[in-house]
Amino acid sequence: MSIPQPIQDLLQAYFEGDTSSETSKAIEAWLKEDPTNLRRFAEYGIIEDMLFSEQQSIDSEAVHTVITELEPSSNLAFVDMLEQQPFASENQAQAAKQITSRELLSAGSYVLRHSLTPRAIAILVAAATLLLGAVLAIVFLTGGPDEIEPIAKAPGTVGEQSDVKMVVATLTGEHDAIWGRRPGEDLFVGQRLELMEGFAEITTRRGAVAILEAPTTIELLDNNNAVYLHAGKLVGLCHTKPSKGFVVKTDQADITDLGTEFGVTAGLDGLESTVFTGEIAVKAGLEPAKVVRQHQTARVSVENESTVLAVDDVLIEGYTRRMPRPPLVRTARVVNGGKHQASIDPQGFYEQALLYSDRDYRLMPSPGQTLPEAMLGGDIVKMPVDLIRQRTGDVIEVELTTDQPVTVYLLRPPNATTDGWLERDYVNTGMTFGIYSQLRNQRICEVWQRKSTAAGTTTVAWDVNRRGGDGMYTLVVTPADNE
Amino acid sequence: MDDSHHNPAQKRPLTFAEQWAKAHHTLGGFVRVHAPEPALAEDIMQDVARQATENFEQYDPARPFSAWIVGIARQRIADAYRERGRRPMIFSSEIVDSLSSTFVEMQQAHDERIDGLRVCMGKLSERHRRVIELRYARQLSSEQIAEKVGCSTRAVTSMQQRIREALRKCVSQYLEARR
Repeated sequence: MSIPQPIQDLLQAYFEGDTSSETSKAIEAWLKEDPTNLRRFAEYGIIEDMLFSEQQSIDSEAVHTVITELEPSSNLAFVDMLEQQPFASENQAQAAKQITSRELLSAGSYVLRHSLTPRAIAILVAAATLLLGAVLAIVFLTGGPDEIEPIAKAPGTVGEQSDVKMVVATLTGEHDAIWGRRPGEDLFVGQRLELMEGFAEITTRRGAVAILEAPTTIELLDNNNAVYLHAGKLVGLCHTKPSKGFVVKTDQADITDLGTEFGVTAGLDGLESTVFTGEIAVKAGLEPAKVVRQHQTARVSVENESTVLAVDDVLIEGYTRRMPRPPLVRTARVVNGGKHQASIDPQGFYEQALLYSDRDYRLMPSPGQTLPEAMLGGDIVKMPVDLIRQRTGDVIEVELTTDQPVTVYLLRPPNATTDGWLERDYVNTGMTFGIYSQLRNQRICEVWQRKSTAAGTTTVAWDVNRRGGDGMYTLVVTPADNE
Repeated sequence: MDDSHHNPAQKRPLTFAEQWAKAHHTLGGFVRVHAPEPALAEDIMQDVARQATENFEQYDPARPFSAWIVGIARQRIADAYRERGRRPMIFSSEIVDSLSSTFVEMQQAHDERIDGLRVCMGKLSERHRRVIELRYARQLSSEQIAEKVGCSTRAVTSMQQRIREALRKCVSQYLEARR
């Protein structure tokens, strides 16, 4: 049975150090509800301890320092203990002698902090070493690393392709991908693709496009329009009639396109699928299929329990809805911006297009609206806030340099000042777009479009920013031919 | 894993070093559910280690080592809170008793649990591993992690609990498969 979200939030707060009376009482009440909750809580505690231990790696120099700071008699006792321990195997003995454990440093720190007796020192150091030895020996003896999914697999290895070499898809694009494949390559039934870096685009024989964002592993299935998403992130684009019905199978559920754009994230903790436009059907376990519509997200737990939520109400994964390309904006320079004189880099709007995160900001369509198609894949430039200029009233200018004609969209917050330039250079598209500072603090911006922007350097926005962060414009720059 | 005080192969009592190695993370888990602040938990663990090594001669090998060491930890946790001017324990004595028994029972699978966690960690996405590294290795706050991974603080806190729950389930399945 899943833990209710309010309890999950409490547990997270607790393990972050919130031991307030209110939190403690609520957790105690939950622990008393069911004996299995006690066990879960205990398991969380052990996982916490193991994660702290595993992650706090130390460098050998630090260990060496600790060891050399021990009394000579302690060093001797430590070596003696190593020699005398009945290790289960040579591997274990060798592993124990690798002085790289955090426990050893920890033991050393006990020594330094508490000035223990030589006997205690020797025992603690040996205990730490034994622990390391035992852990590593388990890995060696059970072949542990072999059980962990491989980090990368070279293309064309044995077992990668099925005996029936039926072409079901084509690799149609890639961006910063590291896997030795080339666009245009045919993909076969049963072929497993492991993308460790970058992005890749595949197109099924029926025309469905899947954009993969690393790290992602998929397998091609045999009906010319289906993939198995083992883990990772995928966006499905089904714009043509034959591509309708594209299926993404996962461990938790089957997702069937009903003519749409959607994103899927599959991992150890379940599945999440968000519909950008259109509809999908999500079939989890024995549950009847649920239809998920535009601006909704389906979550499926590892127990195959599905929930459909409105994206306005939850934080969802971000998705790349168009294949990335090099930035259009060569430089975005702030002129007369005090400490913001330095260039600011354009950031791709394709990064989490529906849900773009920039520090604490999220950009997403206002309720009931879709992201304007023409803005997808654009570069994004955010105006700065400058408190000095705010006081003096000096105007900050944003200057863009591009190598080709572009279209500039400006998202105008309700409180932003314009002083006439906006109406002079831009036209109001009539569209609106939501920007969240936090999840529940949305400002609806008007979307204005610049009349024309040729290649080269040009000033695209002026701002005295009298309203601080509330008055910050956001610019989205797309190729002129996107319109 | 056998929690008995004897090593059947060697026919001799296990040393403190061996006992400690077999109970370390279970004990650490017990301490962390009572003292979730990392620095406090570390201090308590050090105190438990010091007290246990100095008093190991008083340990009755007829009793499970885990019960003995959890008893020491329980006392040291109460002392640590008292020294800091707080209430003796976060939870009622009824819950502390129940948790003590649960941890002693769970110590049986200590080594398999470590192995399972390693396997399960390998199945996490790159993004989740990054969050774990920032939280546990660098000990950053959720706000700091949010800044580094480019999402909201709430998304980070929610993700951390989802990761913890995913690992818990995965380790449970791993242990179940080996029974």
